[in-house]
Amino acid sequence: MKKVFLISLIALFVFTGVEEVQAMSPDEFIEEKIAEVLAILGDTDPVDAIQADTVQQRLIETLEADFDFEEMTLRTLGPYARQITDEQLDEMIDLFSELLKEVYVNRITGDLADVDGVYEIRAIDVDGFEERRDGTYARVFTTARLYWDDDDYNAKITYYLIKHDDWKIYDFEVEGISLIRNYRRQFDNILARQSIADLLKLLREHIQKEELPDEIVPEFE
Amino acid sequence: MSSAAARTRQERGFSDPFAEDPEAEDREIIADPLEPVNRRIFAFNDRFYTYVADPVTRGYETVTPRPVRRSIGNFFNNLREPFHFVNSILQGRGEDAHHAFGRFVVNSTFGVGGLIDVAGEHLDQRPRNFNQTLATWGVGDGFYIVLPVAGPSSLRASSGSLVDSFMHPFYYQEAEVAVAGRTLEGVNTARPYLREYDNLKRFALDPYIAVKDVYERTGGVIE
Repeated sequence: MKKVFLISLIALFVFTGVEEVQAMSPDEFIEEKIAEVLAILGDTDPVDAIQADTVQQRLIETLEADFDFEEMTLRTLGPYARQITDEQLDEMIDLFSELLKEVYVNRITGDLADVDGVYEIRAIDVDGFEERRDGTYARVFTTARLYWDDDDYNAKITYYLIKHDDWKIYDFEVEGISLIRNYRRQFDNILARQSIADLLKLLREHIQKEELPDEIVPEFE
Repeated sequence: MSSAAARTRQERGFSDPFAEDPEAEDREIIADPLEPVNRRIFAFNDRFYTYVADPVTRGYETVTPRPVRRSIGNFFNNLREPFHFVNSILQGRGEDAHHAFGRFVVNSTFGVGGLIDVAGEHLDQRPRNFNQTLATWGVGDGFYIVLPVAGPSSLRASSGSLVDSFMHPFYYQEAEVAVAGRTLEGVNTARPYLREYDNLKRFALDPYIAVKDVYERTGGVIE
């Protein structure tokens, strides 16, 4: 009897532990992530070149923790995901995540190279969310309040989430433009004419080009 | 290394958990029978944006103070209200027609010929074009067209712009005035679009397709 009690107690603890991990709702998760990103941006002046590097590095760290690159790559490949070999897929995930990091950091920090044209993110409000397939998937609707050129702008951003142990982001849509769909259309077009090996080569070349310092470091006129 | 390889081939087939209609995405793709020609014009536009439009709009922004740029923007927006009005009626949007009419009258008179958007506080601009009118009438996109300088369009959108141009005051001006006006309007408004284009191009493996996707999602019907 004592043993049963003990097992129940352990089970309860484990269960409570799991409960705690999964307790966060999709909107709470996004709210937390937005707060983290805005804190990083608020800490530093993104126009300062040295600080800009730090900002980018910290943004990449949040991205690595909160995005599901495997899911993103597979969704971008669409039907071609079934044709790719395991080695190719692993390389694709590495390359594509490199590219996405650049895109994401660039979108968030605004066009750093264009000193007179940096959007200021005033706030991002969570408008609501919906879940699908027994809460395995969720999307969270938000409105970003931006300030640029003496004017206020609103941009609708929708985050798409998948639940593993915790929520991870697998796509986001800015004003109806989905990041993953946009790349899927490009991949489809390339793979209709060329092989997966060619696509990998293209990605490799593209990322090497992106690493050129003059494309990342802000230019001053 | 990732654990993706551990997934079986079957598990890699995905469906979108949020798609109401899984085939809707394919239907949104605009046919592109002119792709080889379009790609050439796209390449020309790319050089034009980089070597002409970018330096010109940068220079313009430097020498033209923000309030002046805004007034010029208001002036050109006001000239569009006549066709916004007609298209609002054709689309059966009475309130939008009321906005277009009210804005045009108030801004042309009290707003010094449209330079100041005095009506804006009570009547926001509701841009309605003939492309939207055709879409409301059930006309399809036709096919994708890349216009020189202006960029992505479709058969329906280009036809729509042509019809709208007959309702634009520039149509009734000397050709030189109209060209100068259109150029100034373009230079005055192009900056944010050029920046977005530049961003998209930088991270795209195939910029032509990336831009086409953006056009398909936002182009023409929603301004």
